[in-house]
Amino acid sequence: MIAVIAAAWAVTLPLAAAVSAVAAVALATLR
Amino acid sequence: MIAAAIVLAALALAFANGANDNFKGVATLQGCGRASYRRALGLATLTTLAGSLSALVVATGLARRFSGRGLVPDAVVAEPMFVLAVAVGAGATILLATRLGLPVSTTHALTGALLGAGLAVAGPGQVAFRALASSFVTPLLVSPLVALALAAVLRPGLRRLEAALPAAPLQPAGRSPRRTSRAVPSSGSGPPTARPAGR
Repeated sequence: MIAVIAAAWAVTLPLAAAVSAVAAVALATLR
Repeated sequence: MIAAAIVLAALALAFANGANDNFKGVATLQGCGRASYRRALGLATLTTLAGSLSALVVATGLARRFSGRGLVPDAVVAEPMFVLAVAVGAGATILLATRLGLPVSTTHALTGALLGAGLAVAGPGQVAFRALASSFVTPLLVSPLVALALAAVLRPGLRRLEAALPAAPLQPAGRSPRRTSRAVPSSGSGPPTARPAGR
């Protein structure tokens, strides 16, 4: 359980930050 | 065009969230054999729908928080590209995590997406890291501990209540690995209490 919670912090949050940052840059470039 | 893309991305995020989170609240019912998989899923869908409708009234603060207000300048929050980037980032992360078998947390995904899009659109100097810590990180860190403490406090009382009540029949557990139940004598003078195997 602790490993799952820790993985959410270590993987899910940074992954979402990276994907959304890439999406934001790509959208700004396309505009 | 952008509005349509935002709606589509939000729908994809809602689909990914529902596919993963819908069952969480009732997983215990199926896991302990009190409800079949299908029945538990039906209950989850009904209660999630009720929760979604009540959120229209009681969760305006939550909606405001996850809009990014207070985390990045209001001008950035009002920017359609920021909203689209957040929806795409969170939705793609959840779908990717589902596909790869990674831990899925929509709250973590939305928090990360707000942070990533905020950093990309507004820049590090415009992101309110103090608000990020107080409004997102602290509740995410504290809530599992609160739930743990509450469960530890409630469990002894619920065990006593269970022992005092007549045993409820167990449902066939469907896809649950715990299909069987065994009768064990209760500690009191009442009838035997049916409990799922493995407890």
